[in-house]
Amino acid sequence: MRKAHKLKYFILVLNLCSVISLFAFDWPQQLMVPRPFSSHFAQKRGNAFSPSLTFNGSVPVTASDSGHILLKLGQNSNSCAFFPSTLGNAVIIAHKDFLLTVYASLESLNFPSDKDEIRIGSELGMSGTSGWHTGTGCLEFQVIDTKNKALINPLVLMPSVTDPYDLQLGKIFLTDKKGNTTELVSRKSTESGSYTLYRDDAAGVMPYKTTVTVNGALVQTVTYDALYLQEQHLYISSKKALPYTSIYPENSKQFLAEIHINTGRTVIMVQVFDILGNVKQASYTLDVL
Amino acid sequence: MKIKENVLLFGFAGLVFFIAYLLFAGLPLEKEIQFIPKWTIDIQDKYASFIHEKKLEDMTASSVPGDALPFKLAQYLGYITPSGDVPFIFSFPERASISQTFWTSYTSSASNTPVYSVKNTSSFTLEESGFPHIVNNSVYLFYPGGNSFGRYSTEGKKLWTAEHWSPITSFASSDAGTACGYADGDLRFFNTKGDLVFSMYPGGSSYEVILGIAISADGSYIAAVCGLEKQRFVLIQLNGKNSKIVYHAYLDSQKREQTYVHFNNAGNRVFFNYDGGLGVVDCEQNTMMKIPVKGSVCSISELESGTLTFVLCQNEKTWTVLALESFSNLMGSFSFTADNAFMSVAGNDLFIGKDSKISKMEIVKK
Repeated sequence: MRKAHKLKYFILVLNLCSVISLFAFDWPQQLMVPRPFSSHFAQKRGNAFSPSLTFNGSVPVTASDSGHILLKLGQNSNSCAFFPSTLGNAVIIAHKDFLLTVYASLESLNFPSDKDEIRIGSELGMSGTSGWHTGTGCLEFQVIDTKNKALINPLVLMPSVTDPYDLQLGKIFLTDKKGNTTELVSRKSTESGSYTLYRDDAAGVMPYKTTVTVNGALVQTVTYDALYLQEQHLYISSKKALPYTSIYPENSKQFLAEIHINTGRTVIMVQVFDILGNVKQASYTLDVL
Repeated sequence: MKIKENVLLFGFAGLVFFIAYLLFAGLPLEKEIQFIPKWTIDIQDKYASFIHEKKLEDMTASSVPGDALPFKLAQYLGYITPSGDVPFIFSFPERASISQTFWTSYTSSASNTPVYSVKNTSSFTLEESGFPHIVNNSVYLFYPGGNSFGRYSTEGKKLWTAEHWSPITSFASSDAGTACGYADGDLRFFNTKGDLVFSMYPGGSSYEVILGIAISADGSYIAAVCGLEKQRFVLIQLNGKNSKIVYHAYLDSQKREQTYVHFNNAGNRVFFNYDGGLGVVDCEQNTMMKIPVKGSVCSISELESGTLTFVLCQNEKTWTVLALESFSNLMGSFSFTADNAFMSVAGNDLFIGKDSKISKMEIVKK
């Protein structure tokens, strides 16, 4: 079963890599400094993974690439006859290579209604507050790979951000099988057994990737590059499918790894990476009894 | 000689015409539909008197008669009785959803949203973020991001959720289950327990997307408008995982926005809006009629007797009500100008909301 999952994951990653290598988008709006994004892909939003990269600033929104206008949502937002999409006023564009881009929470849709094709850089409207939002409202941007049936982290397909992310490691927590949680400090003693490692998810921006090594051996990598669906729930693919409840089991906790530690001295290294490859890391030495 | 023959001929023809006239004049004329105005009320006046008479805390505990109709008009929601009373009215600041039994008002950052029952004083809270959507006794919450929703019990307990990799573009609910259409063209049907009964890509177009969807009340059929280049209507007969398309029709033109699809009460006719018209499909005969319509269809209701169906269409600020006999014969129509409108049918009465006014018309055939 695990082998089958690994093979499926490998194929999905291969497909994703082929899409990424062939294709790249432009930013759908001007980036605000110092904080261009108000929330990141796969970040906790409500009680689910966010499928969107959410931008800051009320500015014109443009098509990230040329494509075919698939659908405009939100025209009937006040009608009882239609469901209330939390995307508000939104445009969905179909691109080559089976990709869709979604531009949501627009204040208005500023392009001719009879337009079929749209060119890269064409204005779609102003980012706004028409969708579900907290704070000032802003553009919600999504990228969907319809061939591989996955939501893709838009940052993977975007030009590099020149300003560094506010990447922080945050506090690291160790939870045993009984659910007892302790904060990891530089030197600590604990009992041998299986544990789950978490980080404080409120610290800095959402990392793109996290890794955990135990005594120099890589134990688990979690990469937030895509969300897949299994039994009606989205998941992050790692050693096994990690649904929302595994990644964010409770407030302020983000999953890092499941580890097993044996008696003796154990060094755990935790690393968090942003999309540019910048890393923040810390090592913890445990005296395992 | 020739003149004499002509006089005889014209005289004979005149006699025949006279006899025929006498015969046909005796036959009763075909009955015509008449809209008899009964009353018109101003909901702003009703609201002013309502909040004057009632304390704010009473507003959620209002006793609403069983025959009262829910309405949502501009920034007001409430219930109106056949006699024109408004037992409950509420002015909502941003967004709202209302059904025969529940109502809620919420904001763009909705979280922990209270839902009120009109039958008694109880209310419950949807303890998550998102936009509530109430269909009869079914309560749904659409979560942030636009690609997931949850169904809740009438006590506010989360029953089940469904996520997807692409945004929800159409949604329908009936006692039989919940149907959802997505931006990538996936069409899914969930039973009342939330189990995925089937997932299907109707396909047949260059670009796949589900623009509108409906389920018949008994769960026999799902209908959808889907795809671009070429857009088409599909009728799916539900049979678990073996559900299949039993009728389809390509459309001459296409829409790129959410599209209204609706089954009649008996579940043997389905109406759908296409670019430039209203399609009416007979689910038993697999035939389609087209009725030209300007603008978008936003509501369809039929009389209790099933003899007449009313269609409300919006073309910018012009609203048109069409009356259809036998589901597809256009018997008449009238139009009005308004920013907001609604239409509802109860028994043999038609209720039309126009900005701040609601009118009742009795439908008779004389």
